[in-house]
Amino acid sequence: MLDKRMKTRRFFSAILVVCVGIAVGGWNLYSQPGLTIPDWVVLYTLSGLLILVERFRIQVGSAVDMGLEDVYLIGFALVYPTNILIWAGLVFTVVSSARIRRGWFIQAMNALGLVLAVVAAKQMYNVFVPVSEPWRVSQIAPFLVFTGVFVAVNLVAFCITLFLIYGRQFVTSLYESFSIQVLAVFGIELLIGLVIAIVLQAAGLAGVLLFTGLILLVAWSYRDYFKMAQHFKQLAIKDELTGLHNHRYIHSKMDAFIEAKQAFAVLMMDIDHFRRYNEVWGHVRGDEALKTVAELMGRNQLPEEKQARFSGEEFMILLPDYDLSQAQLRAEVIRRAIEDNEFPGAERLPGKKVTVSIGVARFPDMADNKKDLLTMVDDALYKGKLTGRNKVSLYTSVLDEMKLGLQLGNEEQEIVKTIKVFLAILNSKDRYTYAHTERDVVYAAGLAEKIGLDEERIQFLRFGSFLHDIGKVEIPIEVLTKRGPLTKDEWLVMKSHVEIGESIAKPIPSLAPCLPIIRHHHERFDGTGYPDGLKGEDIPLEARILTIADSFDAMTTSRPYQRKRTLSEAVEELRRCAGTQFDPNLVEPFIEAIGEIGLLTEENVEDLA
Amino acid sequence: MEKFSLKLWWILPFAYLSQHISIAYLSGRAYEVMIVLSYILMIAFCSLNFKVSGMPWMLGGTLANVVALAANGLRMPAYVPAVRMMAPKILGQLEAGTYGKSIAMTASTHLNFLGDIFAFNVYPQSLLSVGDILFSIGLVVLIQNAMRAGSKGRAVDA
Repeated sequence: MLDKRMKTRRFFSAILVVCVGIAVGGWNLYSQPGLTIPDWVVLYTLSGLLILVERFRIQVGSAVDMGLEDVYLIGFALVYPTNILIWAGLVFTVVSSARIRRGWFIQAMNALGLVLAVVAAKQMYNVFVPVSEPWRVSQIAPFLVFTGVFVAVNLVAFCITLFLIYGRQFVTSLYESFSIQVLAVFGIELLIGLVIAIVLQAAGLAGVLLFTGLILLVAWSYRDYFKMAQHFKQLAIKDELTGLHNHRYIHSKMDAFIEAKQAFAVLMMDIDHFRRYNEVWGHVRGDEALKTVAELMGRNQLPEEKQARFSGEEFMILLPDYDLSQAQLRAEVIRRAIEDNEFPGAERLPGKKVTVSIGVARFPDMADNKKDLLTMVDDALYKGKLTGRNKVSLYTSVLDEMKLGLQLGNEEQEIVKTIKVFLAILNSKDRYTYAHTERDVVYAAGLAEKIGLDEERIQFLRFGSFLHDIGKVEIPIEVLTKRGPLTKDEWLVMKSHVEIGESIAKPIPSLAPCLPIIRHHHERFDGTGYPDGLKGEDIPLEARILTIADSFDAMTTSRPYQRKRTLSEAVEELRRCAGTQFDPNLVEPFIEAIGEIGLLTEENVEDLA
Repeated sequence: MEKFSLKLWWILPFAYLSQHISIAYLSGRAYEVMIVLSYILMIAFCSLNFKVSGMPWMLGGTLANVVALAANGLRMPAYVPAVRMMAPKILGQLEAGTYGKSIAMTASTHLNFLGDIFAFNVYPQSLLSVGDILFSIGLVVLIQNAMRAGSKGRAVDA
């Protein structure tokens, strides 16, 4: 329907422009004096110049360029009579629009609008200055009248043209195309027009030809500079290998969106096991695969969608105005496209194909600044990596759940925010601990369900598991990530994290049930643990549960000071320590629960990078 | 870059030669035959190579001149005030109709706006018609293109 309306408008434009052109020509023929031979010379010259300069628009800014046609029309209008202007203008209109096959009438309307404006201005000018009197620069008042009429008629013609091209939305395009720069450009045009009039009077047509040479050379060299600038701009924002945008560009886009308070979803995508692909097939093949992935991403790309290669094998997509479910859908489309594509040599990868994991987050509802948003989408991606890869993961945080699950007052909200900051710090200090807590939550909840703990206690167990290592935020990073065995003093510092953690969570009354979990998760069943050396059933049940989950995760991931065990080795270890380190009644249910959940870390942690 | 080639380019010297001969040495019926021949050759050449850039301009210019000539008994009207300004000596010859293919422009000559009306008062002084100017523009475009086609190996960045 819209198309039909546009067609009608286009048809009407063509009819209109032809009719107006004929009307102007007819009026000129019957009411204006005929042309003498010198008039013909001026007519040829003006038409030629207009046709020539129409091809050279001078770039003034990145968005504004300056047409020279009106400059010449103004200059000639001041010196020569109306009849020459009209014939030259009509010749220019016909020739310049004949060059364009589709949409010729747009150029015709533009050109005719200019001609009408300048003719109207000239007629009004002649009301004040007799036709016979030669133009002088000092006649300022009539020139202002001339300018005013020119601007007014030009604006009306421009609006009509815009309306016929864009329909009713022309108001927005008019509004968008207007800027101070446009005014400045018009000022420049007017002044150059004056200069042309002066040159015409002083040196005749030959002078104007000389002047045109100057202007065109300027236009030409400027055009080169702008092209160059444009070229460098492209280089600065493009990723050379994939042809997508680069890291810098996507960051500046994000900044712009956040600045404008524009809601957007962000997808962070990482190719699974890409390091292995590179190792097996070499980087040349790896680059080819990256290119293919970029190409698959680009398919069905929406115009407002921004895609970039974020780093090595990480890609980022911004989806303005998308909500989370739409963003997830878009991510899923990309994920499947890549999964379904046959990459050469993919059979040497663990899944026998090239797959991607994608994290999804959204501004502003998930984070109100770029840093948090990036952390979140990164966490979401990381979580997808941890739980099996080749999937789209939404950012979720136990902490946010906690906010919803607990009826928190304002002050407590503040403290939760503080805890969030602590977690973020911990995350930046020691990525392992952070990922590890998320897995602990899953393992501990799995065991709790297995032994039939009630729902409320499970919830607090999850919160407690999530917060159990928060005290590590106070532990110096050297101790936290030390590779060799810890000294006695360092052990003391390390052990203090349970008490520190408890004191951090204490100010939130609703977290009270979590405190024993945080404090006692390093107690041992035989009473040799810390900090209180509690024994057997004296240790709170939730703490005993978390101890198993925590130790199991530590066993099955590689740590700086120990090698990673396989599932069966870990199970064996759990059984061996039943009764000493672990509650013997919990070990078997836990092993069962693990059988159902599966191991959350299947590959090397460093392979996640 | 496309390869630059002209069909039957050797027509061109003949066209010029016949035009020159007709203007400089011939008169009467012989002049008429020769000048018509020269324009036929020129138009044939331009039409054959119409696709070459610049050629439409050259053809347009030639046709404009042919029309002006045909309307005035194969003579080109020249704008008298311009001739008086540039070369007052030849005014007599012009008005007698014995100066080359030119005749004086009067109210009784036809299509005067296609006649020789552009006075170029710099060396080489000349009086041109709009057809001549269109032809020259075409020629410049043609030569420029031919030169660009010649520098094929050079990198043309931007």
